[in-house]
Amino acid sequence: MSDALVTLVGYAQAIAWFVIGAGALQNLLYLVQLGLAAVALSQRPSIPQSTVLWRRYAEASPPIALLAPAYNEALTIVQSVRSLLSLRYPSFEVIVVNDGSSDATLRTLIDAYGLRPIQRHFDQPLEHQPIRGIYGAEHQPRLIVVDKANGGKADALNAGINVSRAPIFCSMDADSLLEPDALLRAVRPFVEDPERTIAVGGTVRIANGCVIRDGRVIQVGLPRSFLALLQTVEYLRAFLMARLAWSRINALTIISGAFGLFRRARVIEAGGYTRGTVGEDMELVVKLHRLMRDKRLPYRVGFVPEPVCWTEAPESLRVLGRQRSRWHRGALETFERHWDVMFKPRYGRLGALGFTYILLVDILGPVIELLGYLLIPAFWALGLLSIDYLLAFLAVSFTFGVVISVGALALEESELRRFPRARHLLILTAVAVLENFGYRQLNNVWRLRGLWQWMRRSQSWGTMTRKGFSAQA
Amino acid sequence: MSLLGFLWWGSIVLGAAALAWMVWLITARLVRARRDARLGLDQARMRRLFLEIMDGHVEAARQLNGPSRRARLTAEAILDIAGLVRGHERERLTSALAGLGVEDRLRRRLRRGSRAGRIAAAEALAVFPNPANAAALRQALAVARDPEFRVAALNALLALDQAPPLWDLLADVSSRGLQDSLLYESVVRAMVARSPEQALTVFRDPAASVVMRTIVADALGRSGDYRAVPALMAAFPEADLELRIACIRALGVLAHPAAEPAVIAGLSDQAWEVRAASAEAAGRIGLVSAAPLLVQALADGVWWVRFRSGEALSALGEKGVASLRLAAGVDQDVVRRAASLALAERGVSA
Repeated sequence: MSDALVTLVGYAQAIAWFVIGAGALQNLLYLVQLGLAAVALSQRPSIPQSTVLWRRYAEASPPIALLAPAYNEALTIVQSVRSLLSLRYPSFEVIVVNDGSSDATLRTLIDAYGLRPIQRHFDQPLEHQPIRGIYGAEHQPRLIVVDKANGGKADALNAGINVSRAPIFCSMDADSLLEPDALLRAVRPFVEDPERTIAVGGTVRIANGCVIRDGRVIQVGLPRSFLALLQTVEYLRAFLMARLAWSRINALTIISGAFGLFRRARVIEAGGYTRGTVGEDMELVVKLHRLMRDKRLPYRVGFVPEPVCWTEAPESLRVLGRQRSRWHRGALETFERHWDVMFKPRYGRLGALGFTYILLVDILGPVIELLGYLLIPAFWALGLLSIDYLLAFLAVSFTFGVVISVGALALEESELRRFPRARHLLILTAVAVLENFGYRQLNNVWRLRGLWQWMRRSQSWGTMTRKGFSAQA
Repeated sequence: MSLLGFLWWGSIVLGAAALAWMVWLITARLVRARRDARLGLDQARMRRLFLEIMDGHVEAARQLNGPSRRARLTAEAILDIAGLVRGHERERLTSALAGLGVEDRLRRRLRRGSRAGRIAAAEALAVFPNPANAAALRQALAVARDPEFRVAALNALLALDQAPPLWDLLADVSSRGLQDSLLYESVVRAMVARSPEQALTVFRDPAASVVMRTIVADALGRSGDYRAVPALMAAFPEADLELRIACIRALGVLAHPAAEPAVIAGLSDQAWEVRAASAEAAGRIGLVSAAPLLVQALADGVWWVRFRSGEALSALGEKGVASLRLAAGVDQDVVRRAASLALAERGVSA
């Protein structure tokens, strides 16, 4: 073997070890998450029926302000608000923030609920675009509508926080559906440990394929679209595994913008949502961690798997790709702003685990994995690498992926059982296997695009085309 | 085996194990689906029989003999039905169930089986006024660590009028670090509402910790017992912030005019939480004498104090509204805004 070939083999092996090592580490982290999530699920409080839940928790439950930012949602806003107003919770108000919609969102609300301008005394600790008017409903004392100039979701949420008075607020998307007792379930950590609990996330599930009437999911089903099915498994993995696991060790760095409860005073102290970012939900949670750790105060950022928020998943590759690139950009923006927590001991698990995970899985992961798809089979085909390298790469890129996805589904079935039929489980098991062949790689491409957009400082949200819940059946 | 080989074969073994686990879960689901269907039928049948018994059909109790052996099923049905009725109907049901030995099964269930079942059993025992049940609940409480079960057992003991002494409960809650739990707060409130004298004794006891006194202060306020006013006023000037806040809030909830000196003093407190609570209390009590201080508080640096002061003034009747109208015309922007919005929220023109 010539010296040049030996050198080439050496380079190929070094690259292969780097790719396989990074993949193995990533999968090891996933397996740890799976284990932590299994422990957390097995030790979680009991899940009583709604009536029992009300009897046990209603009296002790603190008031909540539901903040629903709305931008150009004239078609669905009335149904969404009706669904929010019918939630089962002892004390709550719904604050819809019309974020300068260019359609008839505000007019639709005014007509549907008989809104009229009101005066409301509120503090302005958080910055946001000017409020043009506040409206109240004569026959719906729980409903407040804030009309403001357009400034994006973070800006609208900041306005909502300023206008709200409840000690806890729930941030959500106006086009998502909360289960009727979702607030009562999600508030439990605030009831049981009110001093330490500063934020709690709930599970977001895919509504495609479910039967929905009057803004409520009345029968859980599976999507007909294969792309939405893939996302169903993906959401299970993200919520039941990753978030539950990190919350178990108080290193949760993200609470979905679609459904999260926060202690208002702490959020204000942390400076509220960062405007001009697409990852405002993750950014806020990291800011809260930093605030509490800087002050050396005991705290808890929790995740409760039972309260469910239903959302519509995109069914076209174009829309899904845009969404995923944006999410990835959001993670990168947060990492860019807070990467220093990795090197400061006072941030403990947040830096050592939470941010190392983001670095490895979100930032380096897609690049290294895509590099592996190109180089390792090529090196093997050229005879530079033995079959062992190729198999090990296949293991970390495909087979472990199957283990993690099926494991998350098994956790769901062992502890929560939200899918009503055995047939659903069979289909989802097949999807959990198949998603590793094609969809996972596509996701990495979208993430790379997100990386590129982040490097170009793009702030675009892209258009999120939805069919609307009235079309679900 | 090399590390690379280990990765490959390890992933194959784990993948196969995960799929096998899933196959087992799907099979178990098929079995469980039948069992759940049966359980649903049993629950419906049990509820129907409960209604028949309450309606005076004593023979229905004989049909309960089989299903009532399942403690959790029975406990949940009791919570569904018995929680909604009182009087003769409930007595008919509880005596029929007692005749079937349900109490004995529920008592045993307090220490066995799933957590959800133990909690349901504790809650269901609350409808059977029997000293043996109270004794079993106390025993279970003494060894239980799970906060949710403990709250269920305490509430059941409260319903049976057999709650432990308040001091013991507070000491226990403090020692477990559960003093902040809002679930315990509602238990303490219920206990204090039943026996304000006992709560006052604890509150005045020099051996009581600040945490215990803070919890009791809140509950005394909600008890509606005016005998608590002097004790709360006496405790108010104490150094601990949490206790000061709890006392002034309690005085506000009691809304007794005798609390005036404490409320007036509270409006000038160093802590904004106390100032805000004092302003709220002044409004609830209707302390017209506090109006000048409330007007001053409209310029407070903290929004909550300004807001509560505006609210309080608008609740003071003509004098308060007149003060707000004057304040709405001053040059100071913060004061003007607080006053005019307080008036607007009450629907009064500036």
